[in-house]
Amino acid sequence: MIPLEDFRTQACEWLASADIPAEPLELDERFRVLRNWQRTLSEAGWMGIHWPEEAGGRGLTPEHHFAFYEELALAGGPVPIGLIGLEVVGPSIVEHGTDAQRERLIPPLLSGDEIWCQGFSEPDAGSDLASIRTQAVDEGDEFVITGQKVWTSWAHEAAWCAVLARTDPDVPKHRGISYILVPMDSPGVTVRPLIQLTGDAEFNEVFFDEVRVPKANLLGELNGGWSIAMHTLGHERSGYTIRRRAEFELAFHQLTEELRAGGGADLPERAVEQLGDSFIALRTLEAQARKTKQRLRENQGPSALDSVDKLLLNDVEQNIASTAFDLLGPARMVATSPHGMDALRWQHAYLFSRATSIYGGTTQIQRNVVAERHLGLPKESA
Amino acid sequence: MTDTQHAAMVSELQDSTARFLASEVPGTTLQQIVQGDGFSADLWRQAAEMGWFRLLLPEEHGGLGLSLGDVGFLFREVGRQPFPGPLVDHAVVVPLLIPAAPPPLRARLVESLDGDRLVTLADPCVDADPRRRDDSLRVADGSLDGTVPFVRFADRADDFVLFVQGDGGPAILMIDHERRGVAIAPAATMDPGGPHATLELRNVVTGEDDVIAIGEEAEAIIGRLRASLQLMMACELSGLAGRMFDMTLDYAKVRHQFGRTIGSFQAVKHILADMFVRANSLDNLCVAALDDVTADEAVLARSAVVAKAYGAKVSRSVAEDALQLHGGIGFTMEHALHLYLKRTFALQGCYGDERELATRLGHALLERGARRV
Repeated sequence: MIPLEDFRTQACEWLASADIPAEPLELDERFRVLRNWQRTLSEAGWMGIHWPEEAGGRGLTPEHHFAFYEELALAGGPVPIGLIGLEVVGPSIVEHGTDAQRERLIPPLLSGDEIWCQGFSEPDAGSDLASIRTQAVDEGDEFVITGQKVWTSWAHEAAWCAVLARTDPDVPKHRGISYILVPMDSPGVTVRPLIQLTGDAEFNEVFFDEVRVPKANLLGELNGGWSIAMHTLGHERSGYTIRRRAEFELAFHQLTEELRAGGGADLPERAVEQLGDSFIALRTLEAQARKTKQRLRENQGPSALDSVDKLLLNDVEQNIASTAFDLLGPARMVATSPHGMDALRWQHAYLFSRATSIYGGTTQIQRNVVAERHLGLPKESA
Repeated sequence: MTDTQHAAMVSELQDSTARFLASEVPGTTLQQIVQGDGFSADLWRQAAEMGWFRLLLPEEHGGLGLSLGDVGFLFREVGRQPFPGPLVDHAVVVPLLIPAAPPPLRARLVESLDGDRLVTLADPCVDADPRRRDDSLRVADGSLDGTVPFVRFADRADDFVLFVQGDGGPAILMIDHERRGVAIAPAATMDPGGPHATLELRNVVTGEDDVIAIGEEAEAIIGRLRASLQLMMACELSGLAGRMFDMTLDYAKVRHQFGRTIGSFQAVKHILADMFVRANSLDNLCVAALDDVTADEAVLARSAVVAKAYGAKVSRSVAEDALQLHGGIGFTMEHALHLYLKRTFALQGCYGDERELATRLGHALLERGARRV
């Protein structure tokens, strides 16, 4: 197995000579560019790094995988479009899928030829995901799925949806859920875009109106969907911390360069202080990521420490984005360039940063997890 | 010594330090010392016997020759269990000056390693940006004049180490407390780490015999010492934050109201979770800073400023939350919490609080860019 540092060197060398695309702000253009980028990355062997070779991966370790994403971020490379497939659904299929499912689904998932969306949350089931109401009724060879999902990123471009649906309404809620792989071109599937306050229509509502899905599309055990979903979400969290840290490092460097080139000399002292404070925040995240990598090296599985990471990560992202936003001053909602800044970019960064403490488990949920599972405080009573 | 042996030695030092502090300076003892003299000569001698003042001293001078990165644990443990006395002075300043000092001064510095002679550092810049205060102590024609605030144990020190500006540029001097012209104006302090005073020097006669280092050599040593002190204080602040968090968590688990422990209420849980994230991240930052210590001055200076700033910010906010969650009892002198709070507040501003240091970093970022700060 190639040593980690040699692998990292190879990644750096490849990235240095690769034609790294700039990430367009406009949604459809972004989709097209990042999908091509995924094809390029996949052909060069950078996708599925830590998946078994039989599943189309390279059979290396999670450390190798995260090292690639770190170098990608530091090189200013955008992430491939199929992140949901790569980070959420794909690992579940690799871990729990049948050979037939893996053979059929993994190669186009890695190349980006097939895009995946995640059908988990519902209008009435966000933080309380286990209370989902989408049903999958057993009809012999098929499930018949009826319900509504929300926050489904890229549903309008996706070939497949990983749907958590209720297959047994008579047991405690998280025990009656199954994980079903649904082709998005099935009759009865309707996608309706949701426009984020950033202006992007990346999210959607997805309606399932008696959608028929072969039983062969069940992933794992019947009624075993909850633990599959939770297991994957836990494992991918450390990678997210490592990758985002590297992305913020680059973003902060770019912010500082804009200011240096565009007249940072006449910034008021309080703005200078804020900039310094954001730099300190970045350093704390780098120190934190060292601990995350250490847990990976020692093969420690997911734990409440991942929630600790997410809380810190969110704080740092929001700190940096707020600093940039505040530097825009009166231009916060206008597309001008005070101090040489790329106003549209920093406005978008700030607005999106407010979502990070909401998605993937809200700050309030994460604090509950830390308090109860790490600090040993009594659970919420009914 | 192999890396593994070295790591084991440092780990053993850490354990023995923690044990010593827990048994010799528990909250009650500390309360007594602070309410009395503010110092215990007996405890100080025990600290010397523990070898604390020889950790950083190079082996050729009779020390353990550890690096700064290895010694951070001492200050973290003292943060967890405050220990009154000029610790940074004896454990960091003295061992780092001994190699540079000419023989007569070196002999006097070495005496302080046994805990019988007290040395304290009078640095004019401890409260402000070095660029603004570096000439507070001036030597001209052999006469030393100036004022330095916040000198700890000034009323008890046998010797003062001074950072001064002279005709030959910056210099490090050492003078004894009985030198004519040395006056001490004590200031009431709430810092459990020790009493403060302003040192006033008027027409103090100094000569070559008082000089430890001068010019470029002095400048390099002063820079390294200030960064070292900042980093050690960050470690102490990390220990304080960790200890205050632990005390608060323990309290939340035993204090009962409304038929349940207060830690079972979500509002309290969330504050504790937040405190933990902050204290834990400060600890990780200090560990990373200690790991990064090498001979590279720029790296040490940067790590030290970042760690001190974050240490000041986190421990201050953890202190406030700790007090809040302890409720009324935390607000009394009877409960030991106030000692940790006050030690935190005292350290927050030493060599720059979070706001001053963030501003300094901000200027450096605009000048040199994020990758060269």
